[in-house]
Amino acid sequence: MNTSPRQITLDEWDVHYEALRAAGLREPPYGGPLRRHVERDSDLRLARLRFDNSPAALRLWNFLLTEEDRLQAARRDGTKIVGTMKDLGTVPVMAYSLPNVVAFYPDGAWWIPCVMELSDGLLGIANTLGVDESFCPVRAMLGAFLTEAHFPIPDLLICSAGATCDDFSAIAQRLNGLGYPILWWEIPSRRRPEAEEEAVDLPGGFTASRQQVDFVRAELERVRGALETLAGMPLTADRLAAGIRAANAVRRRFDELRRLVFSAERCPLPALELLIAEMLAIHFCSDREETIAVLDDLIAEVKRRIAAGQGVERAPASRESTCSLKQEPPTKVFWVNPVADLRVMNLLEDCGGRLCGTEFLFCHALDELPEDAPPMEALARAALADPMVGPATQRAERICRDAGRFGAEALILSRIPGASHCATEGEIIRGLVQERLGVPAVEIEVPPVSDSVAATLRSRIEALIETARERRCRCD
Amino acid sequence: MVCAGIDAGSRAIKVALMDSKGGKMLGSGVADQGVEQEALARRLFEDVLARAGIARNRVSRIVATGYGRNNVGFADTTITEITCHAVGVRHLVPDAMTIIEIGGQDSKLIRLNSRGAVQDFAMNDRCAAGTGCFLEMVARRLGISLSDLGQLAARSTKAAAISSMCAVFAETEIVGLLASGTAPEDIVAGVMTAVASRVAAMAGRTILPPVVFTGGVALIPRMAEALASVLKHPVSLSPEPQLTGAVGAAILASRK
Amino acid sequence: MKCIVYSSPFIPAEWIAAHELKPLRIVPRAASRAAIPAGMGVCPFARAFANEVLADAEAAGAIFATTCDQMRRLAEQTAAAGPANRIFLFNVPATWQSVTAQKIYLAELQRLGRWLETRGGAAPSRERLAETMVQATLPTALEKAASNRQAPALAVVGGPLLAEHRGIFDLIQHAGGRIVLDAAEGGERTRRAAWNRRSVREEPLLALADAYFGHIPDAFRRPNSELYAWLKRELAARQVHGIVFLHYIWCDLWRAEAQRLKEWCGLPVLVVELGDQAHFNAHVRSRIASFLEMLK
Repeated sequence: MNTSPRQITLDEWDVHYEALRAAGLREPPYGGPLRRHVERDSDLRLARLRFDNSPAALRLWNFLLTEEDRLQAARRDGTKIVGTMKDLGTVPVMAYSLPNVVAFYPDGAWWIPCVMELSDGLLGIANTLGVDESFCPVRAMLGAFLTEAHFPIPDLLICSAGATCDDFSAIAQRLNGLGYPILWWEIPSRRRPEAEEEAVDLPGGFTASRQQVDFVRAELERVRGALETLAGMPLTADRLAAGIRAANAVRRRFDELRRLVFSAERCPLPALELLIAEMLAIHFCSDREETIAVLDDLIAEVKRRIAAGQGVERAPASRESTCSLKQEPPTKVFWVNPVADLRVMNLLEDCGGRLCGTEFLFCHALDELPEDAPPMEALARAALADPMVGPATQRAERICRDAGRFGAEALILSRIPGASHCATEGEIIRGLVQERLGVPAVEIEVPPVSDSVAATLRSRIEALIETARERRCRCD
Repeated sequence: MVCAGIDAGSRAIKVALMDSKGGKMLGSGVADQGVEQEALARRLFEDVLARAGIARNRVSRIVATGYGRNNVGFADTTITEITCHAVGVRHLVPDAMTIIEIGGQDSKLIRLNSRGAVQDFAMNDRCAAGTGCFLEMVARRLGISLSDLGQLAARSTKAAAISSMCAVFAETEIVGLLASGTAPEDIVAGVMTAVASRVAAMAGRTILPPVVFTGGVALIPRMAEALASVLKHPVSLSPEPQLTGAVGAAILASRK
Repeated sequence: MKCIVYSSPFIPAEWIAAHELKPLRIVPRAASRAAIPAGMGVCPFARAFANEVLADAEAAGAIFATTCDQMRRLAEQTAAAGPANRIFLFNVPATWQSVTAQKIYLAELQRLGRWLETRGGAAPSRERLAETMVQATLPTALEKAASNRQAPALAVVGGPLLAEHRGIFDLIQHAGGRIVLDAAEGGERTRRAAWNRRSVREEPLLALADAYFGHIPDAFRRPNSELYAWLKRELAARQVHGIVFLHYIWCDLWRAEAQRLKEWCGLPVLVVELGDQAHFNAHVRSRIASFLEMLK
């Protein structure tokens, strides 16, 4: 069944799903109508989102929303479960190198209050633990541990510490204080090598001193030891190398998907689905092989749309532009930081924008791991390439590079309520983007359920797009 | 003899006269707070004495409490509102173990021990979104009286999410919700939940029942239900919720 | 002698002094000139320290520590706003039980040494370092207040305090409390350990690292179990009746410990959140009075 790309509501998906089924839709075992997540899991927010209407997007959503089932199945069949926290992308590569281990991020619980429209009560539990709304919504993780309602309690918890956000570190420490043992490993604050130090190139265009890379490698050796003990088998260099190759297979697909989406003349995939897809990069949504299949479907759909000259853009919000162009293509927007409320991603297309780049805090999980270096060295370099462990200026420099690559016309910096890094880095990133690229940038703050600020958010994004369009006219 | 308690709160002054032996309330009164705090307190005190038919010289001791307690110069001594609310509530509800007091400018959670003494307390005064003035702002925005908030909230089918911890930003959110067509009853219910959540955050993980709700905000219908829902414990209203601080002060005056 | 300013207790003054520079530990003031303005999410202490560094044209350099994310990030902003190479960001590991963490701290001391040389310092010989260390005096425990022995014994626990906010000690004592333990930053909790004399002679730098990195319990350390072990010991030894817990607004590291401390210690705990204002408002005064009424 061939349909034009469109963003559709949950109600429309109900009808569309039946039509796809009638036309012979083939689905993986976790497939089914999206509606069931609302009815079975109280994922109420889905009823307020607009989704891409492709079977590939359906598969992506179903894959994401059934992760708990996979983790519970892992628990039942004796597979060891690792809860890895904060590093966003490195430890899972190691964990998935072992045949009897799966890893996931309890941090991911930060979306539960959004997806369940606060009916989960997790933030309330965090409140009673003294972790109130002055902390990042990741505090929902505490409630998820205490209720044991959203993921099985991991057999091993691993958390990076050091150059991390204070709010997250404090939340993880609170968890530890509640009696959950955590293996802490140090990620030092990345700095440029000094004149007398050996410099090591990191993924993403960063550099660090040989000494810092060696420190991180030694710390990851401790993680390796803990994983070996858990798995009851050695995490050999061969296993790690295979794990890195498999991770790179995923990352290459992300590279292709992002390149296609960001460079296509018409936007072949909505911002919301791209955000969801990118989340698979950090821990493969508890199934690395299936992640590849999901991405392959998405890539095939995107290619099909590009070949057909189809896009998902909506009509520009500002129809009375002072610009003489009547039919303007959507404004290319680079998006920084993930949003606590998924609904905000829909606003981008609503307001006449489209994504041409992202930096959702874990761009290092999208960069290929070096395969020409010993595995532990490669992992250490990747861990140090985390944009959040270095100076905000370096993160801003990478954002400028990536934003320039696909011709960003505007930048949205999404502030995460309570996140310590957001207090100071926004100014630095906006300043550098305006200096280097000369494009307008706006900062928005998105709470887990943003309905009460929806009008404000829309105004800001619309104003940004209007500004970018005026600039486009002037440049033309 | 008679003892007096004067609770000089941020929004209202409350006076209670107690029989120093039997702990019986002999008179009480409430007046709006203002700039001339001492004069207002004195006027109210004299008014309550007159209404109760008690001569000034029968009052053996006066204790002032509340935010403006140090401005009540004619009081014999001052005691903080934490201690006074604890004593006042325990007098009115002898088995109370946890007290929630929400006033105009702050909110408090007080835990008592089995003897009725304060064991622990927490206060919120930094975040206006957990206080009575937040509810006042909402009522003003919706063009209704404070007492009508509860009736309106009762009609809510789905409380709106108020995310901001700052009352100023929360007001912006409320304007946004109104503009987007959210029903006023859902907004009020959302605000009450937000206030209750902030109080619950002070409670930590252990709530020792019975929980008694006092302070001016306790007069607003459905606020107790909102607290009970968030705390997951029954919450009962204190008799004379606006007066408990003054009652406690008067009782403490009699103990000296 | 050129002066190097810092605020973190993890920066060894002896190391700076051994480089023939004057170490000056700043307790910043809230009223400092504000090149970096107050903002949503910015810790008042970290901001005040950065502003004081920017306002201080005399100091040859300033050391920030990574003991909190706010300091780490404000170091970058401060460096960008001032002359080149005037700011040093000292990487204090959050972890402490691993050999790597200790190595990182030691390596940072060496890197700090190289930077101190660029700020006008001279690399010390082993002997000079040892001598500097031996000559340094270790502050004694909190001086016993002359207040009423019947007054409730209190511990002040928390992170760093602005100069004005150190006034909370007087406030508590005026309200009738007796402070027997200063476990805020700058107090007894954050003092280095006594030197291991033999190590000082043989490996002074290692001894220095051990006395600081190996012995200061703090909320930011992962795990921060040593903070609680230290508190358990000291609270019992001083027969503390109650704790006044202080933290700054937006200081996640200490704020998150408030409820845990309450659940853990079995003592009454008064939590006081401090902001940018230099003075203590009526609410803070009232809370302290209530707390002491409760303890009496």
